[in-house]
Amino acid sequence: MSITRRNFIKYTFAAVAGASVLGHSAVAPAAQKTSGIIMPKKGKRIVVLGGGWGGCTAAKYARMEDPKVEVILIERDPKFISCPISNLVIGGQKTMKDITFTRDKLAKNYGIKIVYTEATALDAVKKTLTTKAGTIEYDKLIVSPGISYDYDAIEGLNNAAAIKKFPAAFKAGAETVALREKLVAMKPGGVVVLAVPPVPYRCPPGPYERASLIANFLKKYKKGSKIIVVDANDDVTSKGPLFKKAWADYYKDILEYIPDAAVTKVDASTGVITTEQGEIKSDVANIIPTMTAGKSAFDLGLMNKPDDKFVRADAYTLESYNFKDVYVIGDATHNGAVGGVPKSGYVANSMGKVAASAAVRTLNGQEPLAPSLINTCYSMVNDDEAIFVAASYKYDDVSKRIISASGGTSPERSVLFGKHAEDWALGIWNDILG
Amino acid sequence: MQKLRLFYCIVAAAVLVPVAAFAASAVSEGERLGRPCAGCHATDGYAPGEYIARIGGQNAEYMTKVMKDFAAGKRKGSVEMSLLAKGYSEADLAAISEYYAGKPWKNSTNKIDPKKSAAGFKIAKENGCFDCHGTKGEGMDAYPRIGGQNSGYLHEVLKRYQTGKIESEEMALVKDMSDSQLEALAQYFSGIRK
Ligand SMILES: Cc1cc2nc3c(=O)[nH]c(=O)nc-3n(C[C@H](O)[C@H](O)[C@H](O)COP(=O)(O)OP(=O)(O)OC[C@H]3O[C@@H](n4cnc5c(N)ncnc54)[C@H](O)[C@@H]3O)c2cc1C
Ligand code: HEC
Ligand code: HEC
Repeated sequence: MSITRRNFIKYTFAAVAGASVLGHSAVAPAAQKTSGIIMPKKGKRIVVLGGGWGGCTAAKYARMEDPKVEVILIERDPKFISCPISNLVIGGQKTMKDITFTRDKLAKNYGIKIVYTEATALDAVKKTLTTKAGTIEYDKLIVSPGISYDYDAIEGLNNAAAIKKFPAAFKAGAETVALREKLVAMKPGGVVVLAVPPVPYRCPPGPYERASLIANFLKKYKKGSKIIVVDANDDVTSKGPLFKKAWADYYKDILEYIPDAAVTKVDASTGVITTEQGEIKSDVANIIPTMTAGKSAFDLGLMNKPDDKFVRADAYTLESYNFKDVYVIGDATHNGAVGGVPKSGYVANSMGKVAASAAVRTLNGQEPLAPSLINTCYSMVNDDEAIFVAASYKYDDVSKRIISASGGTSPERSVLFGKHAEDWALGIWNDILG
Repeated sequence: MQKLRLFYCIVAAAVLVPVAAFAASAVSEGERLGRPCAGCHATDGYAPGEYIARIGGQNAEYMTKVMKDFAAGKRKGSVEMSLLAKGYSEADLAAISEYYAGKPWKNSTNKIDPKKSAAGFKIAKENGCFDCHGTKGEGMDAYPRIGGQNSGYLHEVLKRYQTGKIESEEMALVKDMSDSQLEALAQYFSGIRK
């Protein structure tokens, strides 16, 4: 693979990001502009940035572990919209209502103070987080900012028209609705393109589950249509044999899979998608861009090396390399530093518990405990059958990383796993928000 | 006896107070290892769905045995649990089980079909289910709590005893039952709410 142009753009992006990192951590310019301290700190306090999968879990488990510690959760979006199960909204089995929740129970049941605003800067020396609502002091800060799209990695994508025409839908919400509506509006006989980004990206099996469910939709409602999956990777990145078996059994003439076909260029006016393997004229295209840690991770100065796209953190406590008392969890973490855990909601949930415990215990003068994590990702391949990958993880004293202790994939797809998939979502939503 | 136990409790509490003042967070080994399970089984093991079992408040002895059986691959229908349980030592599995067993039990909220449930009650009476599992299905020690367990899970596990996927002398009595009888039993025991 010689993708000179793509790499060139990527490195330029990193350099620019690197520069802004230095600017922020050195002087934190935004901090000076904003109003003063809000909610002055009285006792011990943990601030959690990001009320998604990792952040909500961390906030809740911190309060469960020590109700005397004050916990403030900073989140931009008043609604919690679940990425898991959002592929079923795109496929038509579920609606947005099924995946949209409030965080009210976190406030009511656990006394978490939730501030709906955006964080803009960090002063790790003064231990303050600046937000649009004011500056907030912390003893411990847990950051779970999720991911950002690198629209610049694909030529023609970083403009409003293209972003609207080719919704990524890897953050659940308006993008999910947009993609669903485009599929519903498409004429029978149309061509759908789904572009899988290069690893690492959030939810490795996510694009393939979506491809299966779109194929399922086309098969039922859009006779003569096709979905072409163009993958930047050299093979299906998760549960490959299981997905391929389902595709061969159910979607033989509907789903075409092309590996080593990174998208290099898109054209919003014609719908033409250019890949390393050639051009495709699409009627609907779901272009999932390359991902980086959430933009806030850059803005807050958490990147450790100039080219880093994810945040390095200690595998035992998830404390960031850059700043003491600042922990990073979820999709934003750097696998080279924490170990080979997937960027999944389940892992973000497990990491939230690890970081919350480490933060509470060290705040109370206790030693942190070794991390213990689980991951499971179910993927639906049609209306009622699922496949899955499941693993448990522990800390390895030798490599000083989180390593897999056991795990594997389902031997086959089944309706019962489909029921488990649905129950998993109910269970983990309860654990995050209930 | 009752009095004596109360006396010990007070002594134990008195001794524990100063320790608790230092250790603001007391996380047992079972809790450390068991917390991630809540990603499927919900916080404290009160799984809200139908097919993932409730484990908060399950009997410790039974749960420890089941976890070891999972790890040994003895319960083949439990695919997720068999993969996951292998990642823990026997001592870990016992500690995790103690942790969840220490939670108060909370009954299932699954919707129950009253007709099937009534049929299930009859079958249960005729087959002596209550003799081992208790009048409310609460179980004891090695006899699992089944009253208020989630309905889909109960149906699935009964099918496994029926087909021999899980071997159990005590549960061999379901081998001659039909699927609709098993479903009725599952509906009845799941619907126990007190
Ligand atoms: C289609 C799809 C399907 C998926 N399916 C599964 C699945 O089946 N199983 C699974 O385990 N995982 C799945 N995932 C992955 C899962 O959604 C993510 O791994 C998970 O959301 C990561 O949690 P997080 O806390 O790191 O980030 P998020 O959950 O994205 O949370 C980040 C939060 O931070 C907030 N935020 C960011 N910056 C700021 C700021 N500056 N100020 C205030 N707020 C801010 C954001 O608004 C957001 O709410 C799926 C993902 C997708 C896209
Ligand atoms: C991927 C989801 C998932 C995870 C993670 C998970 N479980 Fe389970 N568990 C299930 C499902 C599904 C069942 C019931 C169906 C079956 O047996 O396969 C189950 C059943 C059980 C049972 C049997 C209950 C009974 O009454 O016999 C126990 C005990 C149990 N789990 C404990 C645990 C523990 C402890 C952990 C963490 C180490 C854990 N589970 C993690 C999905 C999960
Ligand atoms: C002789 C005692 C005995 C009788 C009678 C009995 N059981 Fe059981 N049952 C057990 C034991 C012991 C187990 C645990 C077996 C194992 O380790 O798998 C069990 C397991 C179960 C389970 C699995 C629970 C779980 O959490 O996985 C269900 C459900 C169940 N029994 C239902 C019934 C029903 C319904 C009846 C009546 C038709 C019945 N049992 C009669 C002893 C009994």
